[in-house]
Amino acid sequence: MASLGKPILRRLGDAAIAFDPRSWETHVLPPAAAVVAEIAEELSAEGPVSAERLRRELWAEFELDCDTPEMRQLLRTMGEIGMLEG
Amino acid sequence: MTPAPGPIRQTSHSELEQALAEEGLFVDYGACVVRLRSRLKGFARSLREVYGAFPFRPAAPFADLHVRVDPGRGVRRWLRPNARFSIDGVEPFDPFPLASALPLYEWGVNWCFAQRFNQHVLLHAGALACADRAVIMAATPGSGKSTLSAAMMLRGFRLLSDEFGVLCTERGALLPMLKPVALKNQSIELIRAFSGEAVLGPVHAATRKGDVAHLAPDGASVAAVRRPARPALVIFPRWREGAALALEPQAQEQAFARLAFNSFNYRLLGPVAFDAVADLAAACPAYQLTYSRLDEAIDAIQRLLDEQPALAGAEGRT
Repeated sequence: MASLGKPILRRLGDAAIAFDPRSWETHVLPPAAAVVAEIAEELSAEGPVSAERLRRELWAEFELDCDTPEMRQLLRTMGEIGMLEG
Repeated sequence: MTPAPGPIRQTSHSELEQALAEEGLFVDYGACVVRLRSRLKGFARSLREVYGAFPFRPAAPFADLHVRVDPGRGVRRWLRPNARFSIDGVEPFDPFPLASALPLYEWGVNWCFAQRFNQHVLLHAGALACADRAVIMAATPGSGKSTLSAAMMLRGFRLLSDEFGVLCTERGALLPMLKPVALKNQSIELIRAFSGEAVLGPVHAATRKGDVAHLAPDGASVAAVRRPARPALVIFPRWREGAALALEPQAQEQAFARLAFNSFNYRLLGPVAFDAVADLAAACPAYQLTYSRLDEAIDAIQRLLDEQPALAGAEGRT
């Protein structure tokens, strides 16, 4: 189980689910969001990940534009459930 | 060696009434044992009809719940006779009319179980098994899961419960919570006509949930009340008048969300329920089943079960 504050992320098929141990809320992440969440989790092995760092990595690795409304919403949600710092 | 107790149906009415009035009747539902005491006239008769296959146990070393169903008190007991349900001396509900004593007991036990048995994830679901492989039918009230559960039992499935999918969080197995199936309104005659094997108790007219009658669990289901089953298939049933049979596969995350939504205690159990329900959604194929004819629906479920690879072990991750 993750330490308090860090969400538990589980893959379910192409999608994922995340449990927020602070609020005890569960979030269902559709396939595209699941990929982004997994990248954030991989990066977090080296320490806390900020939204800005994730944006940079997504652009550098996948040329993924994080300036769309959907991506902004996803990053905001990931911040709210403790997957991103700040 | 003490001989196994005989079934309640072979016990005389007076013997049953005496047990209820004195030390109580110990009813083993699988996931929990209830000690039931009652001094209500006539209650033993309706109990005997729907608990006929259960063993007659007037003594047992342990019970999870100690409940009573008793006559009303004071002047009202003469003017408007009623029945009171109590657990550990507390009455959680207003009294019911005397004629609805059995539905009161059944709902009372369901309520106590849903309130107290948080060592398991409790899904709002019918649960049946074929060769110890369980079908979980999760749905909101009014979706027809009790009727479909009843029909499946009458076609040879082992009934675990028509109301509770009791998911053991440590083993991933499904435990029986075997109670009479509460049929409502048109479902009563539908099931009576569906099979000559159906043993139905009295119809309790105009209860808070409409007309209610209870279908007695069969002997095979009662005999296996202590045997868990391994979840193999998840169904979200939806009865629609005249609808053609339709099976719609559910993505794992969709099945997860629907199972969690249809749980009595998902939120309460937090990470434990998250893991248990995620394991279930990952392990079992899930379908939304829309149907209007019971036999068609049962055939479809049987086919889906037959398509699943047979895995070793009957009790999940034991």
